[in-house]
Amino acid sequence: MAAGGEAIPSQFRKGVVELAILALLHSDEAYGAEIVDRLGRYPGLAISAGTAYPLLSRLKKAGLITSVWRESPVGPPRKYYRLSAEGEGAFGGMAKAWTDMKDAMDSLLGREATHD
Amino acid sequence: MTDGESRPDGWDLPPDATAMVDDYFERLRAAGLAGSLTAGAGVDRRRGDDGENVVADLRAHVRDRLHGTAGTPEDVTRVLSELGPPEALAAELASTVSEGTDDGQLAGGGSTRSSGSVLGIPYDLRAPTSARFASRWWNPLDRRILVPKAWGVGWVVNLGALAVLTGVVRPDDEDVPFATVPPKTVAATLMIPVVGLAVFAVFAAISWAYLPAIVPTHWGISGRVDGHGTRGSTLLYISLLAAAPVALATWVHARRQPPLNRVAASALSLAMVVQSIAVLAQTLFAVAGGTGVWPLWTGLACGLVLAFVLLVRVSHIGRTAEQRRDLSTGSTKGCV
Repeated sequence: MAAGGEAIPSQFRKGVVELAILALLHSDEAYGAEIVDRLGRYPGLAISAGTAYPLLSRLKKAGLITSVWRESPVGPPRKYYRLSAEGEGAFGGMAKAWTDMKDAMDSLLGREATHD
Repeated sequence: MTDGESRPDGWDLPPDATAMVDDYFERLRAAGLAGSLTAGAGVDRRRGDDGENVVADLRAHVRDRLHGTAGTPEDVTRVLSELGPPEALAAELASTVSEGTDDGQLAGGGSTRSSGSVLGIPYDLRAPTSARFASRWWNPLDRRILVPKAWGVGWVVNLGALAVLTGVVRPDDEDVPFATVPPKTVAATLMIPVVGLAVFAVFAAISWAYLPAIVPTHWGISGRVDGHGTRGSTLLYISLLAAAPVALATWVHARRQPPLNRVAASALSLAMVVQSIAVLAQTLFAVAGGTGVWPLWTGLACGLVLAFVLLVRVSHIGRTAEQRRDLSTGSTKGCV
């Protein structure tokens, strides 16, 4: 159990959500509210706008994503985010690392479950 | 040899092996002190306690690994080599421990905490900077309306969060606040508090004739006057209250600070000028026999509102500049 009774430590979740955002933007560009809505479809990854925008800003400062204003078919222009070339490379490495960690954790958690 | 080298099962390391382990942890401790890992001489106590606990755990780990071996120098070398050089381990531990104890915005440097919080009330006694003032007053990415003061004790209003909350600005309207605002517009923002200061000067000059030799200078919570001063010293004090922020804002502009710092300095000095006018109005109001402090509170509110309007307006100019840059190709989603 994480400190303070959190089910998942905030730093761990933050890292996972960052990877989730990169995964979303790997498939297609998206604007801020759209990213929040799409992550909201996954209960474990749901974040508020107040969390999403600082993360997007951080990823942009890190050079992993870029943004561009585009006209919207409905309403005012929207700022769309997408992976940069550097972000594409980083996403590949992070996705591989995630898969390795997931396999290891699945194995570890499965083994511990047999001991319970 | 430390007490931890004796175990309940009666097993002890040979003296030369103990000396090797002690030497390793002495080097680790020395490297840790240099890197603020352990408490030492006044370094952050919480981080120091965490570091000491980790070091104790590592020492127990080494003993466990050596348990069942002959405890020869070769065994000790092999086990310690698994931990790596003590200097490298100290750096790794310092990094790991600090992740759990640092407050990114409030972390102080040096051997004493010059910023942090006491009983939940934040304080920051570090030398103030225009960048810190600006980021506390205008940060649309931070959803907190009240944020720790850039200098002093307590909180200030994050007008950026207020703008997002009221829907007049979106958090990501600008990549970097005011970065794409035309330089002339950024410079022009300084003229607003300067004009405000001129208004104050005229108001103060006219007020002089209407003020008696002794004037009210302080009001209690109930609105009753509980302090007096001479007309000259009071007007001088209020004038400094108005002029000093404008002078500082002018200095920030003259130093070619980033646009965010400059616009925030303009907005903050504007708020202070308006508040100074309100203080003068409150004084005249009391001299005329008025009761209550509503002129003061009205001025305070007006100052914040005007600063808010200025910051939002400049943010909109920055957003428009970004949009003009990106939309010049006429692209829309789906036809890029």
